[in-house]
Parts: sequence; structure tokens; C-alpha cells
Amino acid sequence: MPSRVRTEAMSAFIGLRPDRQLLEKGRKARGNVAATIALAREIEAEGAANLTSLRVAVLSTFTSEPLQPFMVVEGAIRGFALRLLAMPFNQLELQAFKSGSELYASRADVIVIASRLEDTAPALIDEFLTLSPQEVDQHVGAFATRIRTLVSELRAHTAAPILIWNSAQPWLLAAGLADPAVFPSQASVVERANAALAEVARGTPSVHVFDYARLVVEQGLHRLVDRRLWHRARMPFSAIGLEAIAARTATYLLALFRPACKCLVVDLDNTLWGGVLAEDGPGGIALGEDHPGSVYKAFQRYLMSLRSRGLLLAIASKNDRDEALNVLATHPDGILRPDHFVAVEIGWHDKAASLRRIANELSVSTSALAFFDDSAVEREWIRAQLPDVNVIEAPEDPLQYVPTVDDAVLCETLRLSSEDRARAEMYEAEAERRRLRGGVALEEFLKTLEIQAEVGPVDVTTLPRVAQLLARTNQFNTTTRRYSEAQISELIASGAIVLCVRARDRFGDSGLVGLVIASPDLAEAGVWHLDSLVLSCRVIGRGIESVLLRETIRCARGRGAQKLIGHFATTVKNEPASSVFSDNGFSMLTQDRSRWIFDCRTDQLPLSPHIRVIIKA
Amino acid sequence: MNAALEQRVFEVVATVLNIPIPQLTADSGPESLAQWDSMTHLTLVLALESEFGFGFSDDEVTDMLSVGLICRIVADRASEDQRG
Repeated sequence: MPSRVRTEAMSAFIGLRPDRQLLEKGRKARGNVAATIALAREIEAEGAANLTSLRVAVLSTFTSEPLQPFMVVEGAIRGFALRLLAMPFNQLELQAFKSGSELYASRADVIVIASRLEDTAPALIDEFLTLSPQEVDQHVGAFATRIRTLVSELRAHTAAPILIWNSAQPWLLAAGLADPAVFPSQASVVERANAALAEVARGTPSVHVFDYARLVVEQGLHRLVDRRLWHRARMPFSAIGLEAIAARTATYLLALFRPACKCLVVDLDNTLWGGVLAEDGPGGIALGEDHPGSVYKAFQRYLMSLRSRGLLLAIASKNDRDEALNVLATHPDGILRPDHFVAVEIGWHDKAASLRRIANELSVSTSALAFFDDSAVEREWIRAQLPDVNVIEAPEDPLQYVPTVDDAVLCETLRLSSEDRARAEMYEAEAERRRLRGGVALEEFLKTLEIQAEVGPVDVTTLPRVAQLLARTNQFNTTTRRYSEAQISELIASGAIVLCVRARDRFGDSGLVGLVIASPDLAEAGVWHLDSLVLSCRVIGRGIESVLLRETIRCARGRGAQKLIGHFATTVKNEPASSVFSDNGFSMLTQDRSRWIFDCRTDQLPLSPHIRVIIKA
Repeated sequence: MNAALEQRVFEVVATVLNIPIPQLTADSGPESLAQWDSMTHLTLVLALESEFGFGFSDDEVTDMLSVGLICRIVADRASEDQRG
């Protein structure tokens, strides 16, 4: 028997990247079958410089030859010269059990077992409704045994990594709309079969699930499958399906054969936030809860998730170092803080030098670095200077940053090892969140949320978001006055109290979610007017408004206020805010409920015992 | 039929079958070309569909027995699409 475990890292993968021309051609060919075939032929004829050769044997229950040109193109885009070795179809065991079989003679670097439940456990698909629950169990058990036997037989003959397909939901559910009413439902049985298959994979060295079910969820069963071709040639996939399967297979190959990227180096301007810090200033960059800042915030959150999967992050940015670090450290909507980066190269120097220093600092070669920068000029420069760095082609549209980086499989590994712990924590938190949702009284529930509210005066970094909240909030908005940034600044300059609140709870940061504006009466000393109280609909019902009111009253009292008049202007939408004054100790001043009064000397301050309040000076 | 459509059909067929366009005539088909086997026929169908942007019925797939017939089917579909 050959050595049982060949670690994936052992397979040689020289760190070279496919050249850009090839990437460009590949992108153009996508979606056109003839163009794909022509490009595949060209790649094969030219003997593929810079590409790593891989022999991929496909053992399937359907005709797999048509995959070939798609595999060649999608492989080349990812740095592989793929040779697809299609084994005779429907010979899973025949090929696996025989020492001298074509499969073993092929000396494949990877074996793909592509089978569908329709073929490996047909009764579960075709005769489902005639089976008793016990018979269903038996069939699932038989399927699991079949897969276990197949995989262990393969493992005994070859050390090549194995990718084994799981199954999508069937084209038709046996019970149709009634499937969820059947026990067990056919959909759940497919999932059980997939779980059994995953268990076999987990328990066998170098065997990984090719998540076909997921691919179908992403692409859609009816788009992926072409029944004409199945009936004519035992080939189930549409052209879209062939391309998607080839692309996903190539991505798995990357995860298997490319040494994992250790560190992702990112730019700052138009990458971690929108805009240019040096031009737009800390208050002008886009980073926040609303579009377009939310797109960048989501990208930061995604990078944070990569970090928890074990990828290191670093910065290479042309910027004023102190200013950029200050934004990273203090921007209220920043997810990534300076501590989250293992190396920070901010200055006006050459980025190739920055990348070299980062690699040096981490004691890795530059081939372990990936580089993400919105500037095509910087990318081209790095490609020229450091050809082994994985330079990710940043798309124009920042919404595409996440899928692009994800597709670059920076740290896609098919198994998580040391990172398992972080993941386990996430599962625990999720389980707890679910547990918490289950039937407790509202006050009790609010207490368990561990809400934190940070209240403070509006400043230059929060002003844009405050104006945005004023402009957009319709529901929890007492007067619906739409002040611009300039007007808010004027109000502050003329003595108004403008406070904003950020909220977070044990499940995450909600960002800047509320504000209040209070102005002194111009004629009567000691009288203040509560001009606006605005709360994002995301946090209605958590008592954040009480925090805002309490702090406003305190601030106003400090400035000599004796009475605070709350103003309310009814609109078609602001019903949610209609009881805010009566709920918080104000008394009705006018019958039409448009004016409320709070006596700062005698009335009881609004309370919010379940919220931990942090006052920012 | 429209010469531009015809040219595109010839190009797709030539690419899929991997033969130069001059070697193709309207009569070329599975009978006359060894590489035009049943699997290649289906690849050709997929290639034509992605080139022209419509799907062929099962009958149309059956009837595509020569380059000339393909041209006719494509032309019919194209004019239907225009009218429709």
C-alpha cells in the first residue's frame, strides 16, 4: 500500500501567477461556448507557460467529457494547466476496486468523484413515496456504506486527494408541494445523505466534499441542469452549469494545491473606506451604516472574518501616517483597528518596498502575500516588481470587493484546523442568541442583550451620519426637520446641544443610531426646546431614546435649563415616536400633543436600567 | 438567409469541430465529418445557443443534420425573435 497520507502542501506549486493577458482572454471567453473551446485549444497548444500541470481524473455517473474545455480555461485562469481524464461513466466501483484500472493507470494528481443521488441511491429519488421511513433509513445507510467502501478502496490504492460531490435537491420532489408534510421529507433525506457523505470525507485523509449542493443553491437548479442533454447523452448540465462546475472545481484545486496565502495586504483609500482621506478628510470618507459607507464597512467586516479564519492582514497605503492611523483607531464605524494588522506601511514610499518589508517582518516569502488595491497603477507596479505576489484584480464596483477577494481564495482551506476554535465560539454565540430569543419577558430580554450606548456631542466624524439620519429617518423622528450638515454646524455654533448615540449589544455594533437637538429659547432664559429626537429604526424599542433624553436634560441643566419643551409634529409615518415624551416623564403642554414639558428641577429623569451608558466628552 | 448569420454559424461549427471554415460547406454534417459525433453534436448545440442567445427545442436539435440545416433553423429562430 502506498503511503496513506500525502499532505496537500507537499504538492509543488510554484508561486507564479497566470499572466494578465490570459486572465483577460479567459474573462472574455466566459459565457460563450465556442470562445471557450477556442481558448482551451489555444492554451493546450501553447503549452501553458507559468501554469502548474495537474492531472484530474473524473469518475462520474454521467458523461464528463464536455467539461474539458471549461476546465482548461477555468484552470488556466487560476494558474493550472489541467488535463481532464474522464473515466468511463458509471463505473465508480469498477474503477475503484481493480488495481490495474484506467483510473489507477492514469496517475491522476486529483480524483473527482462526481455522482448524484439519482444514480447512487436511485430509490430515494425515483421511488421515494413508496418507501416507509424505515426503508428510507435503510437506503440512506446503504448509500453511506457504498460511499465509505468506495472511498476507502480508493484511499487504499492511491494517495491522490479526492474531491467527492455531494448531491443537490432532485429536479422534482416526489411529493411536490407536500414534501415538507411528508415524514421524513425528501429534501431532508437528501441532506441526510449529504451529511453521511461529509462524515465519510471527514474521517478519511485527503478526502474533501465538493459542495455541489451549494453550487446549485448559488446558481439555481434549473439554470444548471439541461434535461435535453441528459436524455441524449447522459450529460446533465447546461453550458452555464458546465462553466460553473469547472470554475468551482478549479477553486477547490487552488485550495488543495496552492500554499495558503499568509497575509493580505490592503490599501486604505477607496479600499477600506470610500474616498481619499487626504482630500475628503476624516468626516468625508465613506464608512458607515448607510450606502455607500456601508459597502466599505461590510468589506471591513469581511476582512475581519478572514482574520478570524487565520489570515493575517497588513496595510500598504500612500497617506499621511498619523492621520490614517487616527482614522483607523477612532473612526466610529471602523471595524478594523490598527491592532488587527500585523504590519502597517503608511507613507509616501514605494509599495513594492512596503510589501518586501511586510514579508520580511513576517519571515515569509513575498509569494505568501496577496495584494488588494483599487489603483490599477499600484497593482501593475507590484506585478512588475514582485511577480510572485498574488495581485488581486480589484473590480471597479466596491460591492464586488468581497466576492472578488473571496474568489481569490486567499485562505480557502478545505479543512479548518487551528481555526476551529474561533468557529466553535461563533456557533456557541449563535446557539446562545437562539436560546435568548426563546420566550422571556421584554425587560429580561433587554437585560440579556447587554446594550451599550455611547452618547456624546456631534463632531466632524459623526456629522455626516447625523445629517444622514435626519434626512432619512421617518419613523422615530419627533419633528422630521431635515437639517443639512451646515445647518447642524450653525445650530451648534449658536449654542444648541446636539448629541448623538452609538449603540452596540452583545451581538454586534449597530453604529450611530440616534441624535437629539436641543436649543435655548431666544427670549426666555431657562427654557430649552427639544427640537429633534431621531432614532434609527434598527434600534427602536430598546430604550436608547431614554438615554438620549436623559443626557440632553443633564446637559441642558448644566447650561441653566429649568424647563425643556418637547416638540412633536405628527406625520403619516412617525407614530413609533408618538409616545416618547409621555413614556419619559414629560407632561402634556398642549391638547394637540404637539408640546410636552419637562421640569428639569423636579421631574424624575428618564431611566434605562438595562443599558450601560458611556458618556463621551 | 442573412449572410452575417450564416458566417457566425460557420464560425461556431468550425471552432467546435476544430476544422478550418473553407473545409465546411452547407452539406457538411455528421455523415461527412468523422469528428461530428453525437457528443460533439451536443457541444455544438450549446455553442450555437450561447452564440445566438436562444435555446433550441429537442426537435430542432434532432434536425440539425448539416451546416445548411443549422443555418436554416438559426435563421428561422432569429426571424421569429424579430417578429416576436
